[in-house]
Amino acid sequence: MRCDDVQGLLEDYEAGELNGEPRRLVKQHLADCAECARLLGLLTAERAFLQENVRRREPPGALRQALDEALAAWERPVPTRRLTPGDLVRVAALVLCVVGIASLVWLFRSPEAPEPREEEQPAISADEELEDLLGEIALLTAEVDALTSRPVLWDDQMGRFPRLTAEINRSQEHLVQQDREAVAALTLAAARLREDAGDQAGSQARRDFVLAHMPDTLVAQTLILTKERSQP
Amino acid sequence: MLRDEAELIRQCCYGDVEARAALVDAHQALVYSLAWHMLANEEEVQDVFQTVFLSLFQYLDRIDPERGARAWLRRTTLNECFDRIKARSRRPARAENAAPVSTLDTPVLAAQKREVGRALRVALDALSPQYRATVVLHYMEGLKYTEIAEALDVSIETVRSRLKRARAELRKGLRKYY
Repeated sequence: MRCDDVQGLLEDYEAGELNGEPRRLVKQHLADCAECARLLGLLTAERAFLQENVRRREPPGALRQALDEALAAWERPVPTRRLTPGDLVRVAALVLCVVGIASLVWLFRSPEAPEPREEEQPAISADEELEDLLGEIALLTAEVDALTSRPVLWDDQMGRFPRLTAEINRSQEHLVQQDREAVAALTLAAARLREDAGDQAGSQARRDFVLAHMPDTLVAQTLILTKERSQP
Repeated sequence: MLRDEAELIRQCCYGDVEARAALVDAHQALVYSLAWHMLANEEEVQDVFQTVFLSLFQYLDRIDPERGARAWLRRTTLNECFDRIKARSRRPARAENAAPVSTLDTPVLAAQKREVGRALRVALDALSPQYRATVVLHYMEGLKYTEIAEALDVSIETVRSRLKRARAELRKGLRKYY
């Protein structure tokens, strides 16, 4: 093989993509040609460089934590998966095992012991819980209003202490954002309580709120998807 | 490994929280790294990371457990990246974390590595998204031409040609360091 032909195949050879007779011929040529061997060395070094710089990295811990929290908070129905023959065999084997074990347990059962009396738990009133939520929403909303109605003093001070004022504004915006998110979460919870109590208006209120205030979020999309799938 | 993952996927479909965490553990580096090398923007990378995994568990019932989730994750991550690249205007690449500097490196060597890493980042960013994806899949994931062709839905010849041209472009960008 000539050097021109070999050099045209060197990248595939170096990548392990050359097989059979072409690979054998290139390998044979490289044993006798210093120049082609040198070019192969450069390609190998280039690969090592790229692999070192274009490599896997672990996500930051905070990102993984945020994903875990989003998954934990995400409500979705269990998807119905297509059954495969393997699944049917596994289910049949499991049923046989359960029947067998249950039979053995029944045959060798001990005399029945008296069942313990269940203590009555105090029922949590849904109305009380809803009232608490609405109270908390009102408090947070008032706090948001107070924070966003900044005194004129701060605007006047902007010229005298711009960095300090900017820092205070940023902190305030952060607090306002946190409170707004809390209000949104609590409002959703309140609407859900109403819905659970059979108040259809609560269900509609929940959907309207999510669509109005959080339309682009995955939470909004999954809530709508969950609702659609649960409808007959 | 594939057998264990098949079981993990089945368990996830039945709502097993631990199986879900294990599935994320197995593939989080793939999704994050692929997005990082494609986008070079931490905010967008984190958005892709969240979107891809939430989509995974939303559509898990459509994945064949015996085939595993890797190929689906790879393709979905790339599609998310392609969409974002198409939508955004060009921004300068952030190369602060590009260089694999070791604590054993001397200050001069560490500085050199950072400089070269930054240059590679810029050169990589200058490639078209499809060429960049080909390079990342080949060098980061170690995929063969046939596997890259399947991941990008192109022919093997296209993969070979793109890799060849991408390497030429990267060399041009890094010429001063060779």
